[in-house]
Amino acid sequence: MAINRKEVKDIAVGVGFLLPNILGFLAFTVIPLAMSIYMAFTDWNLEMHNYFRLDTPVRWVGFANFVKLFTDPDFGQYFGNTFFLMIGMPFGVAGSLCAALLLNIEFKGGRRIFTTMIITAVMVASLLILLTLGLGGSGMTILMMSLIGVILIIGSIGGKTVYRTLFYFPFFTSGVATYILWKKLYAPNNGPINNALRPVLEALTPVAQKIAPACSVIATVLLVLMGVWFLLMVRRKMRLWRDGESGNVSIVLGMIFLSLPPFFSLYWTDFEWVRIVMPLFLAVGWLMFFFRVFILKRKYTCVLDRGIGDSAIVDGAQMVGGFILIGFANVALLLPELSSQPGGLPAPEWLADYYWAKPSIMLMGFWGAIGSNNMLLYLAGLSGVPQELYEAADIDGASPWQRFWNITWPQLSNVTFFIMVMGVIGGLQGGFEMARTMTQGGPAGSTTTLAYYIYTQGFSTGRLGYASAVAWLLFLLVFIVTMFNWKFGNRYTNE
Amino acid sequence: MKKLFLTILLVLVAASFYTVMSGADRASEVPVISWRSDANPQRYEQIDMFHQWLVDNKHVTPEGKAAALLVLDTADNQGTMIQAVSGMAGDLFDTYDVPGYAALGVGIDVTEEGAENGYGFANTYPGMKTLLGRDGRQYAYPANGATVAFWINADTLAKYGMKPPALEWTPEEFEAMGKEFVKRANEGLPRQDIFFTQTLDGGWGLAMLYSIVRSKGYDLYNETLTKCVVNSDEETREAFSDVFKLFYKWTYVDHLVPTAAEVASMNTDAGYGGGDYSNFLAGKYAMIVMGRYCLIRFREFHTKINFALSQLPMYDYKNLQISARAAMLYRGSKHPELAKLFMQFLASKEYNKYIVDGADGLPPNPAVVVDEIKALKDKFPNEGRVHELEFEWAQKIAIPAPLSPYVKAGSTNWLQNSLNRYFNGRSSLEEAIALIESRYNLEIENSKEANPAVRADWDADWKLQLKIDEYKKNGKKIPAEWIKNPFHLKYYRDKGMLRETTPGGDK
Repeated sequence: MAINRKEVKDIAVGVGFLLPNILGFLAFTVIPLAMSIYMAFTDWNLEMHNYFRLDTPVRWVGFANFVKLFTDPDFGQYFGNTFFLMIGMPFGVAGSLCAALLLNIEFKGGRRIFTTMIITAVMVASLLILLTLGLGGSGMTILMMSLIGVILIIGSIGGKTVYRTLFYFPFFTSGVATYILWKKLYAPNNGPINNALRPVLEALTPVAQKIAPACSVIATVLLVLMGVWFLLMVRRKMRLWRDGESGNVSIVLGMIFLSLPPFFSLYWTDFEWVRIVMPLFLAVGWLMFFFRVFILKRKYTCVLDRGIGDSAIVDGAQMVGGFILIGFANVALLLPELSSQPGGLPAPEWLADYYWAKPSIMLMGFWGAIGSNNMLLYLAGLSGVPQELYEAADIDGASPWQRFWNITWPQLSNVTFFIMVMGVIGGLQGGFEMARTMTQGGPAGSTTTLAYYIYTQGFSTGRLGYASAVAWLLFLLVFIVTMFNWKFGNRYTNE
Repeated sequence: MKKLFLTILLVLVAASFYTVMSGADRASEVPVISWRSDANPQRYEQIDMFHQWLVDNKHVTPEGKAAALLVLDTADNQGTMIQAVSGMAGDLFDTYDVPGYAALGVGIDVTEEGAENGYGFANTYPGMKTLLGRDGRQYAYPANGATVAFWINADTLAKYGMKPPALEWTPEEFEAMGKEFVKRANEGLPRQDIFFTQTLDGGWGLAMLYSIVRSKGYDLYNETLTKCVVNSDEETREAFSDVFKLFYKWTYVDHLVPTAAEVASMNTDAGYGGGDYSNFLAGKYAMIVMGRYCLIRFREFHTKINFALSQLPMYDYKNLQISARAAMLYRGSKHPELAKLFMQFLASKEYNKYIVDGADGLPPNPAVVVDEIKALKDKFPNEGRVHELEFEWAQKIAIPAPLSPYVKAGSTNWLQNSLNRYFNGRSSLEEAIALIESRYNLEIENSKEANPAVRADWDADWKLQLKIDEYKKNGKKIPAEWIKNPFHLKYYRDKGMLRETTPGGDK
């Protein structure tokens, strides 16, 4: 088909207008991207290769940078830090879902305004009592309490639009500004968080002192519970596989996820018995797996990749739950020592403490995740759930929980899966701004993520080849996750 | 729509054209040179002074105007590095890492011209030599300098019935006085609010750590800077371990200094210099580790503090740390000859007098302002002898912080990292000390591996190190030119362990 002169002219005009953008994209995205692939396989070092040292050729080193990366004794820590910060992701997703469900309710006017006013009055009264007792002396605490009151009143007047805007604040507020704000919130001696925690901890101290002799038993129970929970989840997984609800990929993936907490408990707890009992739990779990897969076999067959979503979300959540149990067990072990301190149970030192720095950043991320695009996606997803399903459920006499679990949650599964995948991508790439603004990667490298490591290697030491290799490894991880989404995302939704 | 887009495009093109044409280099009748420095208001006054200095010294156009127009560029450190390696940096740039930039090959060697025109190594502090160049060659001249010591608020001490410490004191004396101070100052307070000095968890703490360790004759690196040696022998390991233990005790047991958590809780970390100045002024700290530049802030306040100065606490061998904000001449400069005039200006009496009077650290060329330094005592009575003491110490006992050409200045500070690990219970003392050595030596290995030229330099230096070890073992005097570590050079010289040599060889 011939193109006439007018069409040529139109195309030329269109391309002309697009050209600045295309050129910018080429200059600042495509070419650097292509160059960084090349750099990852070279010894590009600013000391040897820069504008004034053009005579020194860049040497092709093959996979040397990648090999070096895996032999770097601190790479594992930074890699672990990146993944640790992602443990909070399921909570962020749950939080944004809860926020979306709440914001889907109409708040405006009616009797609610009176309820809100009563709540606000109670809050103001509580604040006054706190002030009288000398517990609310911090200006920040007063400010926050007042803010909550104001928000409730405005919300009751303006309705859900106000709340939706307010919840979306964390997403469009400048990152650095919010990080500085959180630094103040986390101030160990006089920050609002610890100011609020301190009376609670004071009240809990006598309880902690009472149960101190039993703390070792509590920690043991929690760890055993984690082991038993692992076995129960393995049994659940086997049944799904037997009934054709779960494919081979799903069961292997699920087994790996489920095994991680018992495995890491060997390193993260001080109990000697754990070194014997946890391998036993693991052995039993994997024996169940082999017994079912190779001897009993399955009743119903299914495609290889069925149930991947179950592994990614349900087993992933079980894994996080297992890690939390380990965390609680460790807290229980420390409780006698902490409760015997002169001032009672101490409030966390948050960003200043090696062990608390990562959870602090995770908590902040959780706050950011609730009011992020995830919430908007869930809101959009909720508006797409067919009303007739709820009507049918009402006719059947379903409770609110049954409505949620059997209608809302399955209907939102595609959104959930998309959010999880995007969250993993964002999580792998994230942590740079927080580390740079709040902790400089410390204390002792506890908040140095891969993104921050790439930055320091590239722009502080000038080893661009090595920094590019780390960046491309990160890309590889992100790419695998994205592929996973493309391949299994829709199937999970259809399941 | 097409017309609208076209109009926007034309407006953008016109705006871009105007921006380019109105730039200083287009608008100026004389060549423009740019100076990357911080956005300190004093820089603008210094630029005006430079223009006047050019006129006074006959560096003028036929019309009698200054031969160059100096403009200030305030890019950050990372920006400077990226500009420098891309051929886009200003004619001059300030840096605290001249050896690092020299290694990138972005500086102009001014060794001979500097010596001829009064801005050479001999025209500044002896301790600054390694901070201004690499391999004995000069690439920069200081815009100012600093020697850190304890700046004492004599009024705060007097409030609690105490007097400033002696000019020299030991860590034991520091501890005893600190305990007494925090006891008296916090009596009756619900929570400790007043500390003897600022946190040790940071750069100032490391300055103190180095002073104590060096005062016993030990350092982070060996004589040729080819290896980190903190864990290599019992004595060095013990020297570092002792300071780690002391720092822990002073922070968590005696509470002479605030913990990281307490620092994070302070509401005074805004502004230049962080919260230390405010806490010092408010009497929350009795003393702070600082350089003379702190007076820029303190003179702004109505309250006139009565200052005293003491060295950092240490043992026998007296030493302090010196640093330099040095102006480096960029290899890509379009007007290097004019930029060199700026370096001459930095060594001039006019500029140095400005630094002395304005308290912007140490003047780069103290020899030209001896009388001005003496006059400060009468001009600022509350500042007492602080000026002459700091100048004296800068010239006599100050040496740079440990810096190896084989460890990038921007890489992880493993000493700080290990101290954090030890403080947080993450590592035992032994593990923390071992980590410092292993990680710095790994950095050295990485540098060698990444650059064949560095490897060749390291090999040559390592051969020297083996010879030095042999000489030390046999109790022979070591040729001075073999020593690359400024601490060992000074220490061995002062202890009579060196054989003085000429640059040509071993005499």
